[in-house]
Amino acid sequence: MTLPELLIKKREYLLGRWEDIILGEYAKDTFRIFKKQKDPFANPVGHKIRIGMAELYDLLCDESDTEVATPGLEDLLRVRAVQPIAASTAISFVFDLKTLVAEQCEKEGMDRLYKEFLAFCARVDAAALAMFDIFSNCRQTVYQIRMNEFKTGRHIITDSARCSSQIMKEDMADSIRNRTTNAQPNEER
Amino acid sequence: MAIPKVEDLRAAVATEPNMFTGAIPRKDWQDTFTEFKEGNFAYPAKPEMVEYHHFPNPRIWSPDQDDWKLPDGWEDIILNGLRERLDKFRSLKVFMDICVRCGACADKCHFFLGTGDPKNMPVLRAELLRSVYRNEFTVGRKLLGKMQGNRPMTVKVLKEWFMYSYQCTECRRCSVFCPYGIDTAEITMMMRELLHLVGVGINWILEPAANSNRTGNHMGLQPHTFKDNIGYLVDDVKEITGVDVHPTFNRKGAEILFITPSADVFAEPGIYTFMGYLLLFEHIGLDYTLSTYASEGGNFGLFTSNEMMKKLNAKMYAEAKRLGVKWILGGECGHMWRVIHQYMDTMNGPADFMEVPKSPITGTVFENARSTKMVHISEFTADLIKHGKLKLDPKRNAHRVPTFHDSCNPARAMGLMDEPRYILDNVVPKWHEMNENCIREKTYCCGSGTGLNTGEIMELRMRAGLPRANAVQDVNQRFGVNALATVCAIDRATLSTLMEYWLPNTSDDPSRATDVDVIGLSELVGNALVMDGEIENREQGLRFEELITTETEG
Amino acid sequence: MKVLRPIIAVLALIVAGGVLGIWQGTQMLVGVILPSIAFLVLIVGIIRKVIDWAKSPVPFKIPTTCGQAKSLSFIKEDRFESPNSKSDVIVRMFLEIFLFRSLFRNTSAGIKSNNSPKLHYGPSLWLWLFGLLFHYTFLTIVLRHLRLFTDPVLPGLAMLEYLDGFVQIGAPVLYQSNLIFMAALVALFVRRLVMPQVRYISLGSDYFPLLLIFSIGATGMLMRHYFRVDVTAIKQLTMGLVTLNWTNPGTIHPVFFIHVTLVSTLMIYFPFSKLMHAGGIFFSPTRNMANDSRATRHINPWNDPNIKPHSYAAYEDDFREFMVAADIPVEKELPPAPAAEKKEEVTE
Repeated sequence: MTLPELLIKKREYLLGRWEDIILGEYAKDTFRIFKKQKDPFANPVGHKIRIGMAELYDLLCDESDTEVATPGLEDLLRVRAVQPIAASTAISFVFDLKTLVAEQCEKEGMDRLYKEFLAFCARVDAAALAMFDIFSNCRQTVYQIRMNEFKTGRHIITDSARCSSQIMKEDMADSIRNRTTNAQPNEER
Repeated sequence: MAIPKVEDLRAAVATEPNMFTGAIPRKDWQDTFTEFKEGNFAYPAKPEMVEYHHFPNPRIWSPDQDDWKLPDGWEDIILNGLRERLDKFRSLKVFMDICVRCGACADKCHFFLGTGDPKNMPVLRAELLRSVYRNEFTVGRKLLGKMQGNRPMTVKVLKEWFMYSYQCTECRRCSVFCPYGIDTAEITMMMRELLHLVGVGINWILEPAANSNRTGNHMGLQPHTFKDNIGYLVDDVKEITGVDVHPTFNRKGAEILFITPSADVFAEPGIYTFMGYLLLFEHIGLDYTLSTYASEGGNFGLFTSNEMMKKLNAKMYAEAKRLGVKWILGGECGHMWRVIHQYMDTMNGPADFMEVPKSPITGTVFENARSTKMVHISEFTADLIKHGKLKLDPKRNAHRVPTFHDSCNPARAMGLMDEPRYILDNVVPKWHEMNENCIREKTYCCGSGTGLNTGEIMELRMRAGLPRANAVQDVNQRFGVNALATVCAIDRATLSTLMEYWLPNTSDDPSRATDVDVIGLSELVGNALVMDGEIENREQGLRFEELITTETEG
Repeated sequence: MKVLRPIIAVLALIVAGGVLGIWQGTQMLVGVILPSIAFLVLIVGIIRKVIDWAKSPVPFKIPTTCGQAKSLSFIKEDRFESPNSKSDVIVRMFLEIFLFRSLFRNTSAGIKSNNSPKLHYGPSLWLWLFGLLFHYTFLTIVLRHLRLFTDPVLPGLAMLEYLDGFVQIGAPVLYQSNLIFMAALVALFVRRLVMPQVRYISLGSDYFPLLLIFSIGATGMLMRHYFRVDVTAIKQLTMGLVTLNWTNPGTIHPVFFIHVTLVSTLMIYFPFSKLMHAGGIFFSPTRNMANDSRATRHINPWNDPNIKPHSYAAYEDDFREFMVAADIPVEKELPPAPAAEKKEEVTE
C-alpha cells in the first residue's frame, strides 16, 4: 500500500482523530464516557471547523491539487481569526496531522515509505503557510470592518457617540463646521 | 494574546478542552474564573458619563485591572438592590425560583453557539445571579446550600456578572424554548441595574443615553445638524428620482409625528431607509412632521435601568402633546419597538391627548395601537399596499434577492412577523426564507444588540453573530440571496459588519464589501415606488446603484 | 461529583426509614407523625411561596410572542402563540401546562452526515417526551393512591386502576404507569449524566429529587410485587391519618415506612426547591399575559410620576440660536439684542 492509498483508506479514522485534537476532546485523564459528547459539533463553530478540516484533508491527500484556499477552509480560519487565541495556535492544528499519519504508517508497517511521507509533510508545510496567509487576511478584514463602521457612520451607533459628521462627507462636514464652530459640548473634554 | 512558548505550542490544542468549540471544561462552573483581556470587554463608562446620570461611584477604572475600585460595603448595596428588585418585579422572583435546569435553553443562545463558553448558556447566565439569590433569600439555604451550589456575593461573582450580562443581547430566544418562559433578558437587565449601583457600567451605553437625554438623540446631533443631514438626503432623493420631498420639523398641527432611530438620519445603510420613508410619505401626501427634540426612536435606557428608559422615552409623548399631533408613527427599529410595545404606555401613558391611530389614506383604524397611539411603519405600509394606495414596481428591486431577518424584539416582544413579509412580497420580484429554525420567533440575534455593538469587542461580536451569518450563508449558497432585509436600525449597522466578515465580497465589483447587502425594508419600498414627476426610466437605486433595466420595449 | 451528595442523602433516608420502621414505637414516628407534619409543611410552604410571588407586582406586560400578533385584518393572527385576549391566554397556558408546548419546540443543532456535513436544526423531543410521560404517570400514581385515603373509595378510581392495568400482566396486576414512570425517571436521570451540557449545569438539587422520587417508586413497587405488604393494615393507618384518628396496626412491613419516609421528605422538600415550578409556571409573566399592551394600558403600581424627560423648554434654551438659524420653529423667540446682531451678521 502506498501512502496516498493509506490516506484514502483511513480517511474517516484520521479525520476523526484530528477533529478530536482541535476540539480538545483528546484528554485521556478525564472520565471519557461523560466527556465524549455524541455530537460535539452541535453548533456552527464545530460545523465550520469540521467542513474545513475535511476539505483540507482531501486537499493534502490529492497531490494534483494546488489551490489551498477552499471555501470551507477559509471559513474555518475565519472562525479561528475571531477566537481569542494566538495566531500560532490557530494554525498549529495542521501539523498534528503529521503525527497522526506517522503513527498510522507505523501501525501499517510502512516505515519504508519514507520518501512518500516526506512529500506529504512538505504538502502540510506548504498548506500551513498558505493558511497563515488566509488567517492574516481574516485578521485584516476585522480591522477593515472596524474602519468601514467608522467610514459609514455606523460607528456612531456602534462606537462613541461623538457628533462626527466631519468624517462623513466632505461637503457636509464643511457646512456643519461653519455653523457650529464652538458648539460641540459633547465632543472634546 | 501573548506569544506562546514552543513547549506550550506543542500541547496547545491537544491538552485542554477548548471552550470555543463546544467542548465542556473539566472544572465546575463555580470554580472557573473570568479573565478580562483587551478585546473581551466593552470599555467602562467614563466618570463624566456616570456623573451625568447621577449614578454612584464615578471613577476611572478598567475591567482588566484587579481592583475595580468598588465602594465600601458594595456587597450590601448589591444585596439590598436585589431585595428591592425582587419586591418590584414578579418576573425576577419567579424566575429565580422555578428553573429546573432542564437544559432546553442551553444551545439556543447565539452567544453560546458562537463562543462555546458554557456560562453563556442562558441557564448558567441566570445561575450566576440565582446562586447568590439562593444564598441570601431562600428558606433552608443553610441546610441545602452545598447541594444547591449557593455562593456568597464576592468580587469573583461580580466580575462574572459584568462579563456575562454584557454577553447577552436580551434577545429572548431562550424564553421561547423555556417550558416556564424564563426570560434571560429580565435577568440580564436586573444584573445590569445592580452593577450600576456600584458604578460598574459600559461607556457605550451611558454616553448615547446622555446624548439622547440632552440633544434628543444618541448621536448627539443638534437640531440644525439633524435638519441638515435630512436636507442632504432630500437632495439625494431629488438626484436619484427627480422628485422633491418635503419633510418638516417641529411643526405644530401636523397630523402625525414620525419618530425613527437617529441612525437612520446619519449612518449607512440606515440613511437609505430614511430616503425610503421620505419617498413613501411624499407618495401618499402624508401630513407629518419630524421632531428634533424627540429625534431618537432608540432607547439605551432599556439597557441601563427602567428609570432611565422611562425618562428617555417620555420625550415622545411630551413632543406629541406639544405639537398637537393625532398619533405617532414609528420607524424601523428593534429595541425601540420593545419599549414602545411593552413599556411605553405603562411608563409614560396614558396618551389620552391623542386619537386612536387612523390611516388618513385608507381609513384603517389601528385597533391594536388603540391605547399607545403609536403605529409601526410596517403595519402602516402593509395596510397601504393592501388597499392599493401605492404604485409599486417590484422590478426596480430586481437586482436584489433578499431574505428577511426577523429582529429579536419585533419578533419576540411584539409578534410583528407577517407585515414585513407581506410588504416584501409586494416590493421585490422574489425573496427567500432562511432555515425555519432561524426565523420568526426562533430568529437569531445579530449578536451586537443591547449596547454591545462597539468596536473594541469586534471579535466577540463576530462570534456571537455567527449563527445568524451561518443561516444567511446557507441561503446565499442555495438561492443566490444577495440582500438581507430587516426592520431594525441596529441590525442595519451590525449585520452589515457581520456580513462583511463572514460573507466577504466574492464578486468582481471592488466597491462592494460583502456578497450580502443589508437593507431596511422601507428602502426596498421607496425604491419600488413609482412617483409622480419622477425621472423617466430611472437608472439608479437609492444607493446610487445601477438598476437592472428589464424594459425590452426600448 | 455533584451527584454523590444526593445519593448519600437518599441512602441515609432509606436506612433511617427502614430502621425506624422495625419497632412498633418508632413506626408511629415515621408512619404517622412524620407524614402529618410533612403534609402540613407542604401545604403551608406552597401557600407561603405563592403569596410571596403574588406580593411582587408585575410592572410591565412582557409576554414572549411566539407567533404573529393580532394586527391588521388581512394578517393572520396566531392566537395561541401570541394571545390577544384572556381566553387566548388561557388556551396558551393550557397548552403550556398540559402539553409542555414550549418544550415541544425544542430543536437541536447538529450535523447531518459525515461525508458532506450540513448544519441542520432538527426537532429534539426526547426531553419533551420523557418529561410529559413522567408528569402524567406521576399524576396517575398519586390519583391511584387516593384509594388509601378515601372510604368509600372515590368513584372513578376503579376505572383508572382498570385502565392502568389494562395489559393484565402478573398478580397483583402490574400498572403500566409504574413502569413508564420508572423508565422516564431513569431517562431523565441518565440524560443529566450523559449529555455534557446538561451534566455541566446540573446541581445536586437537580439529582436529589430524581433519586428521591425514583426510590419512592422503587419501594412502592417492591411493596406491591415483592413483599406483598398487608394492604388492609396500611389502609387502616392511612385512613387514620385522614380522620386524625391515629392508629398503627403493627403488622406492616418496614419497607412501607421507608416509602413513607421518602414521600414525607419529598413533601417537605417541595416548597423550598425547584419543584415549585409546578406553581411558578402559573405566575410566569412571559406566558400568562396577553400581547395587547398597545391596545390596553397596563398599570405599574410603582410607576414613578416624578421621572420626567429633559424638558423641551430646556432643550430649546440650549439650542435656540441654532434652531432659529436653521428655520426650525421655536416656542420663545431669541432675545432681541443678540438676535439683531445675528441678523446683521447674516445680511453681511
